Amino acid sequence: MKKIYFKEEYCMACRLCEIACLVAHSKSKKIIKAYKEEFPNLTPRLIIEQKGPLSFAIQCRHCEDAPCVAACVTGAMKRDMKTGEVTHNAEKCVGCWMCIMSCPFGVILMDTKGKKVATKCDLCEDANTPQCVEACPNEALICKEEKNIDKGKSK
Amino acid sequence: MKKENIVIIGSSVAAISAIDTIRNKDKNISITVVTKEKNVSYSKPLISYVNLTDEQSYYRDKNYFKKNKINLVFDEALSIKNNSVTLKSGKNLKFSKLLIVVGGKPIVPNNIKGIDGKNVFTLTNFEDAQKIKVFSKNKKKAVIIGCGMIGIKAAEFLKELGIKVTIVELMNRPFASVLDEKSGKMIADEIKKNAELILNKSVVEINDKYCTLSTGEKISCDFVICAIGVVPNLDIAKKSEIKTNRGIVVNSSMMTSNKNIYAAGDCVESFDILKKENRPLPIWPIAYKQGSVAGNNLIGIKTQYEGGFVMNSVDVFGLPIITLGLSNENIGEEIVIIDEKARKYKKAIVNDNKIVGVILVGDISRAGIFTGLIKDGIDVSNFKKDLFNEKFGYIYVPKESRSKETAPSEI
Repeated sequence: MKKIYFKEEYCMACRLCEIACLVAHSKSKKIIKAYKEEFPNLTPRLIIEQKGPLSFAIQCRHCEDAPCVAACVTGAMKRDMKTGEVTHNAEKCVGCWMCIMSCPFGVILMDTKGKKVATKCDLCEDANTPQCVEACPNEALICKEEKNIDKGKSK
Repeated sequence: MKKENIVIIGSSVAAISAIDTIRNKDKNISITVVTKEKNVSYSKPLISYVNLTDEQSYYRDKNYFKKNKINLVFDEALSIKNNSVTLKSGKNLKFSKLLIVVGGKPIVPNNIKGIDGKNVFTLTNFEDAQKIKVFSKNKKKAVIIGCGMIGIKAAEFLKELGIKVTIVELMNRPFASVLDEKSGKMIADEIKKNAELILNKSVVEINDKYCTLSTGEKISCDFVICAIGVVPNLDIAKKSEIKTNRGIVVNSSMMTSNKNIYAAGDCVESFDILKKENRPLPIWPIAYKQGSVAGNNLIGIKTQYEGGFVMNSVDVFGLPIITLGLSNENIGEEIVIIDEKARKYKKAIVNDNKIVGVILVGDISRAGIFTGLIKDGIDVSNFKKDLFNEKFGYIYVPKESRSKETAPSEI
């Protein structure tokens, strides 16, 4: 499967990826509408980190042996055996935060605006490509095929 | 050649995880699940949630066992002899490999008079919750013995059912095994907004009108939930000459003292990577992981469980808490920030330059980064003063210690 990777030597922390992420997960998918009508109720699915001159945007790694999937008590967090994607079903989620406790990258976020649920990168399932990657002007975010993903689905 | 068949005793998360692992690699091997539970599709940690939607109440989907071609046997496994399980119904089940995932048993102290009364319950499975729901109709007051994970969930459960709750805790604070004095006090104050909380006292007698405390005080109540904790269920192992200590003894392949029998989850002793000793680590993520390791080994794929440590995420009437590792031990330098007004408390214990324990109250965001630092034993000496800095994040993890998941292999 394709995964998103960051290159911290190229990231300028311009935050365009964050905006693209918010818009991509808004109802309208339009930047003005999203910010004017939905903004305080939108949670970006990525986190921009900065330390001195370094910065990067990080989002769900879709780990092969995902600790969040192991920790999820509702079955909301699952790994799709066909695509390798770690998916989250907000309908099932009860907001117990076991995934927040388990994710070593700290990229699962708490959406507490409505019903309390976890939220995270879904690789922009509605669009063809992850919108944060599309928005990055400096190729600090790239989307590429990961080798050696599990071949467990064979047989 | 004899046909391989796997028997699993128990149907909770370690069983499901083992089945997922096996079925991912072998669609045809025969798997039989023996369970005492009438409902096999629910998630144990959710039994105290009253208003779950249909979708939420199933851990896997409704037809999970059927879809995975599991032969379900609703019976109680009593003992094991010569590759055969004896069931309560008198039947015997032959196996080539067996997995014991029977979980924990609630602690019920026999020194409390009236503890065997009809109005005394435990709350660790679906049936318990159903019984309490039925019994609590038209009842007004209850006492919960113990203010740990189960006690607090029981209190929330009863509050939802409209019952007035008094929690009686022997120690001087809630969650005494994982919270320190300061955070314990904060949580106690939070609980008191929603229920009566009596600390430093124990229940000595129960009848159908009240509980008598160690001090002689009487607390009026219609029924009692005993929520002191759980211990590994060793019943079947002890009857079957399988080596036990505080839990069923297993090696890193999850194999018991009998080479055809594996065990996983709350019923076993696991390697605590922080204490460097084997002890029960009865938490969900460990049961899941061990179930998967056992599943692989059951079908001959050699896999090891490397050990874990205790961690908890619990919401106390809306206030989130996460504790990691040896969170309540004085074993190193403590990095603490407190904001009592905002109900926030954060503490990290650093020993030998490594984090060995964390308590987070109120703000638990990105807690997993600490879990990762503990698990991988990462040297935090260069950034320990920044651990609770607003900007702290994965970027502080030294590049050479970061996971391969963050960078594509060729770059």
